[in-house]
Amino acid sequence: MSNTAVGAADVPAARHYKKKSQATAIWRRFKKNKMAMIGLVIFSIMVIIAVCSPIFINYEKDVITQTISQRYQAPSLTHLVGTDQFGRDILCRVLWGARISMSVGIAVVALSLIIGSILGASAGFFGGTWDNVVMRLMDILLAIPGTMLAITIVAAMGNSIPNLLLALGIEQVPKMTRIVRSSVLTLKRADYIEAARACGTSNARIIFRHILPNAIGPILVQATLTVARTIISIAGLSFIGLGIQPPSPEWGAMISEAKSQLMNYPYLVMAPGIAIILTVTSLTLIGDGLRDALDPKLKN
Amino acid sequence: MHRYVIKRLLMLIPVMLGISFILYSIMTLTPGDPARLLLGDGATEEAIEQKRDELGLNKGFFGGYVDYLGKAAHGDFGKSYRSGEPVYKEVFTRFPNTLKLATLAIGISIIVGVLVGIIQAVRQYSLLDNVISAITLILTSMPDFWFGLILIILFAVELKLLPASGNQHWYNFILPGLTASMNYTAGTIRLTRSSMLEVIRSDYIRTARAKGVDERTITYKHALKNALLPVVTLIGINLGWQLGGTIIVEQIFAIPGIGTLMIGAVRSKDTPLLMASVLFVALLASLINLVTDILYAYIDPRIKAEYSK
Repeated sequence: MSNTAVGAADVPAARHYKKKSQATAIWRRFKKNKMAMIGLVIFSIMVIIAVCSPIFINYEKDVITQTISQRYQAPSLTHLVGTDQFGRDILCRVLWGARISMSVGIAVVALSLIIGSILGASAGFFGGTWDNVVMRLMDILLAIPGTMLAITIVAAMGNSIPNLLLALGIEQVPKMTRIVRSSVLTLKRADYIEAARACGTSNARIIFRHILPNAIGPILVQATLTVARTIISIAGLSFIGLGIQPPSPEWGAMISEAKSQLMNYPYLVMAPGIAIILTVTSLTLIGDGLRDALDPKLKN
Repeated sequence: MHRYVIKRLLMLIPVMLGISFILYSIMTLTPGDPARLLLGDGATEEAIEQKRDELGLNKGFFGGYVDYLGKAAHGDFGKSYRSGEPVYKEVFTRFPNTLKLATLAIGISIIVGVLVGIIQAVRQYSLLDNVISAITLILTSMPDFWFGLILIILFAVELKLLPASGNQHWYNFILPGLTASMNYTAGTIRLTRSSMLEVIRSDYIRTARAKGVDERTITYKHALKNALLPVVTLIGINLGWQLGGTIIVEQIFAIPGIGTLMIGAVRSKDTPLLMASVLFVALLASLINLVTDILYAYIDPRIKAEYSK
């Protein structure tokens, strides 16, 4: 009895120490990567904008109220990037759009992370029939090409926010599941897992306390890239009228509205497009940087 | 090798069954009655009931699915609710447009992607390499529909060189093809560059250099052959994805392809048409992936040896 008590006290302390030093080492490598740091700075600015925009922008007044007398204004001091076909300030709308894209992106990542971790970890850990069932199901989901599944779900079930999250999440779950599963497969043979099992640790605890924290690297990279992909996907769905609806200033919805004025006022599509590119590029840079930092061998 | 191919082909059956079940469930369990949609608001209850019978909607959830599978096993994928035409006819009239678009896009991505990737790898860390890297990074982060609109603004509105919509002539497909290829080209460039760099550093290239083989022969004959192996896989995956992924591009340029057909089918609750179009593309994509894997084994003797074990 006293033996197990000592073991239980030692193992978390050792793990904690190791985790901390590893994280510091990764951060040190990440910091050296100039491109990744640029990405981190841009993304941080976007997050600050998304969080703080209600302080300096009034949603009702600045984002959705139409002022016909102010239509198609060229950039000026009052409207830094001009106004759209309904007299709304484009900059205010684009900044507010960051809130929508970021929250959808993060919600989809959270969804696919939770489902993907549970499915992938249990499939990899238990193996056998359960593994087969889960992975064949993922094969089926992966075999439905491109955005076809997402479009079918939203078009059939209606484009409420929960349905959109489901449609976008279901595309990402198989990828997350595969990544978690392969990490678990390599880790479950490790000596420290064997030790944990010898101590009588429950399966759930082994998976969530001992395996997943050590598999966090590839999962984190995938999560970063998932936010990026989701921001593009939601913009695409909104663009063809199946995502977030106008007057909401989602970037894809803004581009969709501006499309009808393409011949006369092409500049209307610029600002939301640049916002998407900045956000997605910064996330890609962070993801690439993380991957290199996590696996220094890979880079050279 | 034969056993592997047969196994992969057999694996397609459960996958296709699974896809059909998912699609059938989404279409049947969501609100909205196809018969009511077809006949409009003015129709009487009896007329709707009769239409439901005619479309085979009164067999219940599982009854309807089993009925569908039974017919599909005999090659009958049903008739479109809306047009009454057999669905394969609709799919086959729309498919050539999507195929043209997808092959053009992949063609562009192969030619541009491989060439630019090699140039970058040969001149690693030069100004040209850095500039192209920055451009490809932005291109991979750019939504294709936005790129398409920019192309329309440039070539259709400003320069008036190319049409912004239509599918009658070959030049109608230039802008859509460029739009659809954009992300894939950037991906191919990045992969060719990194794969080429990896190969250039390997021992057999050093041996070739030591023997005094000239740089051009090394790059194009010795290095390229091995460097292109991962690129071939990427191209196969891309082509499969592209067939189902041109939906938004079809919408921008008003091309009547599979994507447009599919969106219309979901909106009008046309279950047989939706299932046929998605299943067709999914099957084709899976077959392309299988062919890519086989091709891969043929061009890489190391993998072929693995299979014959």
